Amino acid sequence: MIYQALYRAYRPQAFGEMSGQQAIKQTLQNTLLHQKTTHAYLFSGPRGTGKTSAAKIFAKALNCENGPAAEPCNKCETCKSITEGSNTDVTEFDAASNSRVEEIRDIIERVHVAPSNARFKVYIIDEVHMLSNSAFNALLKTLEEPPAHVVFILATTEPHKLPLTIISRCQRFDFKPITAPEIIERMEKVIGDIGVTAETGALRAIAQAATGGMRDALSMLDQAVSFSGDELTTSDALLVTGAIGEEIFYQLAQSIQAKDAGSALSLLHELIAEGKDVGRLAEDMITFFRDMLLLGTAPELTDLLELISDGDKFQELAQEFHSDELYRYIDILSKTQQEMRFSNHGKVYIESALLKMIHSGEQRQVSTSAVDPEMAQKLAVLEQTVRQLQQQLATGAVQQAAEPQAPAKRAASTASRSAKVPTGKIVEVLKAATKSDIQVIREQWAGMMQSMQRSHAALLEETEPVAASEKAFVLKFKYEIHCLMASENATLQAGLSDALLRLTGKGYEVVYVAEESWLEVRADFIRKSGLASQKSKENPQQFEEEQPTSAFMEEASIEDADPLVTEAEKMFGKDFITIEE
Amino acid sequence: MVTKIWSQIEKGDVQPVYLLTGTEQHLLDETIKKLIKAVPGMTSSEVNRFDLEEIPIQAVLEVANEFPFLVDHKLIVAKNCSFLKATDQSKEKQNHQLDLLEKWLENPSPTATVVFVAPYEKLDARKKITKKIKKHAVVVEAVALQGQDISTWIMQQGKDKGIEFDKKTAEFLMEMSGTDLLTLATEVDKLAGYLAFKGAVDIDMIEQLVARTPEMDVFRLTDSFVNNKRAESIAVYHDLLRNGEEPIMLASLIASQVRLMIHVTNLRKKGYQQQQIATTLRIHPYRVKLMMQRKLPPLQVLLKALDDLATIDLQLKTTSGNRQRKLELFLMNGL
Repeated sequence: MIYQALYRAYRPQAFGEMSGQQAIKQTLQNTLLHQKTTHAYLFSGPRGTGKTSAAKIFAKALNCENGPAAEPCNKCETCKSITEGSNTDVTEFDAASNSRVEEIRDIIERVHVAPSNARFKVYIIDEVHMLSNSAFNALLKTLEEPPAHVVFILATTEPHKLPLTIISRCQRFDFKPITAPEIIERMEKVIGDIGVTAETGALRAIAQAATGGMRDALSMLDQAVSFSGDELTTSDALLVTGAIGEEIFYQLAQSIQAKDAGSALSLLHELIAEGKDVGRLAEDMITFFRDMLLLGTAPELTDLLELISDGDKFQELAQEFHSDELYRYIDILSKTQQEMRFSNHGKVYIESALLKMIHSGEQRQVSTSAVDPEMAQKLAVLEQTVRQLQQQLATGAVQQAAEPQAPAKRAASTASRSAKVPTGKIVEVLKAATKSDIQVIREQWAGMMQSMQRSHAALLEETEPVAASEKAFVLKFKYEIHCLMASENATLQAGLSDALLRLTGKGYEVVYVAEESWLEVRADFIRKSGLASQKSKENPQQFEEEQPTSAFMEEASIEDADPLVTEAEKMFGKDFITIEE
Repeated sequence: MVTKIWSQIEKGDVQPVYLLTGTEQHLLDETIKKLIKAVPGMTSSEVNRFDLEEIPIQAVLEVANEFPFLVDHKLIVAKNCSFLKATDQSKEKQNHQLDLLEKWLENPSPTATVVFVAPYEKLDARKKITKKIKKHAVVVEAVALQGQDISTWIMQQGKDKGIEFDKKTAEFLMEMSGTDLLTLATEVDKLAGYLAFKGAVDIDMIEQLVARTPEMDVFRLTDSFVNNKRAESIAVYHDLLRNGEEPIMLASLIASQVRLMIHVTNLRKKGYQQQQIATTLRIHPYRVKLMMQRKLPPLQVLLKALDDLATIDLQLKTTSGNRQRKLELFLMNGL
């Protein structure tokens, strides 16, 4: 007799033999017993979960001569002919290779003909998602008005590809992946039948690799058994599944945890020497660490573990790793994966990844012991300064709330200079003012504002440098209160001159003045210097002073000119501008 | 309404012309089933069924006027009456002679019952033919049920099949499979089968048996994620992957939910009310309501999540390796 693959020889022939899908089996059997089956079923689920098997068993149970019963007898002629696939009333239709509308029409044409020797005509349409659009429409017409003696069973791995109109016409059953213990149970029965003994680890490894598909499990078992003979060992099973034993990963994780680069590398070399592909190795390591993460975050979801099967031991190991660490490992490995794609030296990359993983932990330790206190200290100092500044600001503001209005009013009403206005200094600056100096400062102003502290910059928001000599310049404040706050704020003044020194290379003294007082002082000065220049004609000694003064006066006269032009001049400097009326 | 007409039909009072409109397929099907039962000697295989997208109306009228051959009374179902709609979008236009139909409606055949099925949300009431058919036919409007009505309907449907739902299980079923009565009816049938047609339904059974719609699952995924139920979100994520959903799609769905949360947080800070937020963001008020009901994570956390999702999106589109893993790791990290 020709050898029959295990998964074919052990295809279940009754609901009782099917693994898993308890709820589905119960529902189908109940409807069979009560003869309340409907016209269309949709079995969906991953491969190897029993869709087609269930469909065939259901077809048999429906038509069994000893029925209606919850199980087919598998002895009567009808059951036998259905198992062989020779029954004319049970049509198995592979939609994957007959996807065109003509082909489905062929079988649907005969739908209205009564069954010849069974109770029901059963159509099992496998891989139904492969049907073409028009084929679906043809099928839908029949599903909408099915004759009483017809049952459709649609089976698919990809239900989302079906039109909703089809799905809503069917009673839909979602087949779930078969759990590892169920697969192991079935495999134990199979190897018992064929007279092979197996280590539990071997069966577990196969069940793990099958990821819920019984057919995959059985064909791997088939391979493993033909490879190993009468006794199936764990290592044989691992060879067949191509997986790396979780034991090795356990050791690898331990040596990473212990920062034992030597043993980690030698483990890696062992694996590579066994002929494992480095790319696959990186992927497996990611999977392993992902499983560890899963154990940490959701230990109850053992079904979703991909590499680890022995929960308890790894649970303990997972406790020893911090989740951040695991994420970092995964990160390192996936980067390595990327790099390896473009290189022939995958081994080097994976080695360095391993070392990186070991060292990444060390760096973290270093950082906690050495760098952190330093940072903390810096932070403390900064915090203190900020607090001081805030205090200064607060007290300054309080003082000004009472003070500034008084001098301001006085200045406005009596038109005399308050004691706070440093008239003398301003006049000094004005006397020595040159156009180039003020330009230098204005050019650097924006940059300076950016480099200043936020709170300081905010205070200087509404200010403008109006006149400058080589040593000092006048800073005009729009509001007197800001002027006061600035002139009392030592850190601001220090910061300002620092910034200017950095940007212009010169140390300037800053004279703070409010707009009102400034206008007065300026008007005063112009009047006086006007006199002075008149005098200078008589007095050649003062002649040299005329140049700078006039330069300043020129600016003063422009103040009243076109604001656009003034703004442009501020930006580019006067030398670069020609005004065309 | 529907039930009133049904009870008339059940009493054997069958009119010569029916017009079935509305989108709730299940109610349309039920009406036809009841008519089949009510006409003496009628079985479903003897019903004359026509698709008006394939044959013209005059052919149907001809059959209706013919004297019945084997049965006493004919039952004719003419579906897809697209000529009653405002715009006829059927692919192959049929040359319906509507004036014949108008004349026929005034004097329908005494030996036949014709059921016109127009499974559309709205008919064009301005059309002459629509006015006429509404006047002469018994109109059954299969309007989609809303909220409370659906759970009542589920309970009733269960009772017909011999099983019991309470309010909680009925609502849970609705949550799982949506509001389409046809789908719900098959789910109730399935549950009845599981229970061998007697007993009470519980939540666990529904979880085991009822096929999840991807939309509902996606909603559960985002929901469990923003509520920081990591285990649940990972489990749902894998369910979705098994159903063939794309990680890119899922990532963007989660991102849109997170983004919405950021919007809501910000607008709430500005003192906007639920309704105002909904109109400002142009979303359904119910979504806002759901979001306002629970405590939202702080803004920083949300922004970081959004940023991470953007990175994942880029990775999914540019890098190779295991695509499903990237979003999975993000979900494990939680909010």
